[in-house]
Amino acid sequence: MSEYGTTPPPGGMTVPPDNKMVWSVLVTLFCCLPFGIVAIIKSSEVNNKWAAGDVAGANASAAEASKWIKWSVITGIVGVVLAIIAYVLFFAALFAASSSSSSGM
Amino acid sequence: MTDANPALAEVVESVGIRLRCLGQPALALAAALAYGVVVHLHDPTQPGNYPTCPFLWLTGWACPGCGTLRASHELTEGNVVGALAYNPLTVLTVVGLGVVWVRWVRRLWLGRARTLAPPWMARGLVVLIIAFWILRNLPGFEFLGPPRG
Repeated sequence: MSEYGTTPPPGGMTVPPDNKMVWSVLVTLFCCLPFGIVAIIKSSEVNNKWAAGDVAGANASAAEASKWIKWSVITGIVGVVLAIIAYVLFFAALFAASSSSSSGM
Repeated sequence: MTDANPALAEVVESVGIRLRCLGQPALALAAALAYGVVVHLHDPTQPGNYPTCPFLWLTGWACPGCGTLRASHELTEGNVVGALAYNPLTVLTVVGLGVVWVRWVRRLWLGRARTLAPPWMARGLVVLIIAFWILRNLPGFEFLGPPRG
């Protein structure tokens, strides 16, 4: 598509790709990971490249943004699950320690 | 009457078609309300109710999202000042999402194609969030929350 230069191609390609900015901001706030920042940067690249007439680049950045949003969500969920497991194990260990010390009497 | 009926039917059909386009915004609104109810009833300002941010736990630094649950809870209590103390970016995001949502509904209702915000706005958002992330970890910027222990 680079042969189109700096003007958007005619026809059905005048609708920009979804930059997923809302999702990028949401994962940054809720998944607490630097991946969200990368997603926001990729989302903003969609706006820049589209405005410059780079349709292929805008689509590529939109796909990159989606990828980082996906990884942010996955690591966020894994992090929460690990935190819950650690929490349960901590109290299980505490309980085991207290019961073994009392049985050791 | 015979002239008005087809016109009326057309209007009703057109409104029906437009309403069917609004499924996604309706879902988003429902999700936002559900989030508000959960965060209102299950209080994040009480320790142990939610896991700690993994970034804060691993590095000791606040991420841009730290304090979002507590700020959201304060907003559901109507306490904007309290919300700003936990995370001003969250309050700004809630306002921004409201504007985006209204524009989204209007665009779908009018059947218009998606447009993108101007590049300076997207770039500004990137700079704002990264600057907020750095600043809230520096001495002298404690007001950017959340309160440090």
